[in-house]
Amino acid sequence: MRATRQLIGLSLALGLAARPATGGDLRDLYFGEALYHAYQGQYFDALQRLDTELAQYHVLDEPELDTLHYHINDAEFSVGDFELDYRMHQRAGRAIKAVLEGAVDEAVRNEAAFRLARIQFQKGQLDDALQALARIKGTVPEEIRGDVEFLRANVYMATGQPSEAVKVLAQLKSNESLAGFVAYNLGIARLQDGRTQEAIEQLDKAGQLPAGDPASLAIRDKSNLVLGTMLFESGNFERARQSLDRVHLEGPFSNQALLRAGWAEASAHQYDRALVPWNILVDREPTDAAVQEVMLAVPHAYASMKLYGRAAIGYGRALELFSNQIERVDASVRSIQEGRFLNALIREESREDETWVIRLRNLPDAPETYYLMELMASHDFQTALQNYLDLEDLRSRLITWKTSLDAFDDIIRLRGQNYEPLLPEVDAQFRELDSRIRLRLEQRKHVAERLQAMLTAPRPEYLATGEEQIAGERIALIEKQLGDSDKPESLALRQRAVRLRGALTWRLETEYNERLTAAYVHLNKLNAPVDALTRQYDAFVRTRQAATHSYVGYDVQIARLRERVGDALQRVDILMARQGHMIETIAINQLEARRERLVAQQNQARYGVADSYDRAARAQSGAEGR
Amino acid sequence: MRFSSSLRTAVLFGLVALALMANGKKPIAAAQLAPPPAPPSVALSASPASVQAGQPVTLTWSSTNATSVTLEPSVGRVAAQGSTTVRPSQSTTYTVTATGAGGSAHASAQVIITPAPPPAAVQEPSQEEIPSDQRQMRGLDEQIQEIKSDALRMSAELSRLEEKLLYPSGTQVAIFVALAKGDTMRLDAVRLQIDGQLVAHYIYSAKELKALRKGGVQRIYVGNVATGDHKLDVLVDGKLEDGADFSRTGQFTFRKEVKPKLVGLTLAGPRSGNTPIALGEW
Repeated sequence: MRATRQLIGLSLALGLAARPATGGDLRDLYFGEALYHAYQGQYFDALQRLDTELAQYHVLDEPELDTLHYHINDAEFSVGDFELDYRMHQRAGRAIKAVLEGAVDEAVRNEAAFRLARIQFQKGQLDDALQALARIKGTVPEEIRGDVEFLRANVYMATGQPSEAVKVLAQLKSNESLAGFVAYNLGIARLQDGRTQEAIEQLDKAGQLPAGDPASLAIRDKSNLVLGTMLFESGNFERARQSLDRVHLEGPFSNQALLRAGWAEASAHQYDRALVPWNILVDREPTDAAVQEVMLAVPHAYASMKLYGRAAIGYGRALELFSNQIERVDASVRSIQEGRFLNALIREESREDETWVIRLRNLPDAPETYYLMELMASHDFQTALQNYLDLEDLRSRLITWKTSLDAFDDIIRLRGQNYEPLLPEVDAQFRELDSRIRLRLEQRKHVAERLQAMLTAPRPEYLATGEEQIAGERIALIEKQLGDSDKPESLALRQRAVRLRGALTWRLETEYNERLTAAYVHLNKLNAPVDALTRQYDAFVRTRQAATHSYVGYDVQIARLRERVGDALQRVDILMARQGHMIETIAINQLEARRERLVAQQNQARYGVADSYDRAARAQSGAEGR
Repeated sequence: MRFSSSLRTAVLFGLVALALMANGKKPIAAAQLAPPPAPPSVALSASPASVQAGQPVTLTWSSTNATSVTLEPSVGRVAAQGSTTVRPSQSTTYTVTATGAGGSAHASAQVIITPAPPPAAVQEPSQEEIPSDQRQMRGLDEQIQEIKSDALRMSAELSRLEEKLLYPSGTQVAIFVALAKGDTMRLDAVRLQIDGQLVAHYIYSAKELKALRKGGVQRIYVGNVATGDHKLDVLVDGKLEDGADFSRTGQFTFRKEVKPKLVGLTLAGPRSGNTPIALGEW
């Protein structure tokens, strides 16, 4: 009963959906971007973004300064979830294991252990899941407490330990968010544990729980269907009927419930009452197995009531339906063999909601997907289908990448053509400017050092103006020309020169402090232009480097990537062909099994028509004889 | 399931006469004068009467005054009495017909197929139990997982290459859009201008809006700007819960430095009490 498995899976998924990090709390934009893709089911993009973020984070010297630090545990957990959603079971769980082994506090470690156990459960690694659950000790975050126990019970059930599951589930009865699922699973666990009567009572309770949302309603219907079937098998037809009557008439289990409700009545020889649910079912979707079965059950009921004419009409209708359906199945097989199923699958516009596969039936020449419903309910086939779509997605990505690499080549070529003739001249000009800038900066440095030294060892002559320097030099020259002559006119001139030197020295000495301060002010005024110059210089260097980086050094990387993309594209093509062939084969096998069944039903109907006419005729001749 | 009494009554009307008219057969002639040969009789039983699909059921019959006996469906002509084992895949009514000089007789037995009991929750079958197509499916599945890993690695390298070539960090600016926590407005479109140049005009699908409402962050624009101050004009179009249109604009300045610049815009509906467009810089 695949539906039961699905429901158990569903119940788990419902309880354990990852809690979204909301806008207000989010501090890392790239983590938010990964979530944005994941929430749209774009797991490839989500994983690629998050992988990149985490790789960068793990090589940081001070990761605590990075914005991802606030979300690091959520990010590691999310990687596992996304990998699972992208059907990468082999990789899923690695990141969470890393959290589990790291130095984290108890609550985080427990959440990591729970998430790991959940992934392992979904991967079917039940022993590992149990081990992971066993690591949960101490403080468990409030919001996952119920989910942890529910998962534990599921693992116990899956490992054939129903009595353990019963103990855990019994503790969970008060958990409102899981109520329907706990009640149903408790019933099934008791059944597996051989406590049939308790199981019946439990499923009876589960079948009467209030249900507000579609999932709760579905699990309640499921409880009633399972219970009805159990009661029917044990010959308790009246109670079976009551339970089956509780199944919602529009729900996914209603067809089976109507069919079985009828059998419950028929088994108690209440054929007229059996016809009530059966006549509802008979007008439903004719591809449904329950509907096809009821096409024979209805005339059988009439025949049992000796209404052979009605039985004949019923068998006649059944015969027509089976013949039509056999044709439909044959057309579907042909459609699949001609590749139309796979073509329809990859049409993007058809994939908007969960029932997209069923809606493919509306496409021209597409196979009758209703016949594949049972198959599609199986996890393996679903995975195979999704993998096929993933491959198609990868194929289109790889083709886009190939085009991107060609575009990168073009960009690089054009940049080369643009920069190569310009750069030598730019570099020559830059070298000249560079030496001038360096010289000026050196001079400035020298002046600053000299001023610094003059604070402790005053050198007034260093602060002489140009005029004063010239005057000082001229005085020295005059003094030199006068020499040591003791002529009276020389003596007078020498005294004049001494006075002049004295006046100059006086000015330099008395104005020294003012001049030193002014020199400092002037030097400091230079700082702003020098800073601006340095910034511009750095910016130029960066731009110059960027110019080179924009077209040099990519050849090897691009060539290697092109090769990898080409290889991957080939592999994807081969895998798609194999995967597609396998999907087609399985679908055709399924259709052929349905065909075989339809042919058997057709024979039954054919026989039923003849037999009913025969009996009707005899009944009538009997009546006339009397 | 509750059925109305009128419905019950309706389905209980067996219109045999109508059926007979419809089948077009003539009524059988009146009894003959000579004493008729003894009519055949036949009995059929099925044990057990209900099984799971594919399980064996023993059909036992016996007949008298019959020259030929057939058991349908799927068995055919059989001896006057005997038993056989069938494995029906669905609920089936078996009918044995005994034909003799004195006419024919029928007997039916119904076999009801009951569903398999609910299984233990998901259990991993051992390798020997896995059918070959499932094994093949898993083999392919593993190869697909490998190529997915390869593709993810390639994609990461490509996006690094793309970033380096097209958006070097010295000039890179990325603008992100998020919705304020719990906001219920319906965001229709966002238009961005940097220094008066239109750089992005994005119209949101329902799926994207849902992702934003759940807390996802959209990278709406990546481009290049020079270092220094830049003007950012934001125009937001949306609808309120009651369907009324609204439009908000915001003007901001951000400073681009040497490292990549990340600008986050958090949008809120006009009735939320939050700032309609809030800018955060990273």
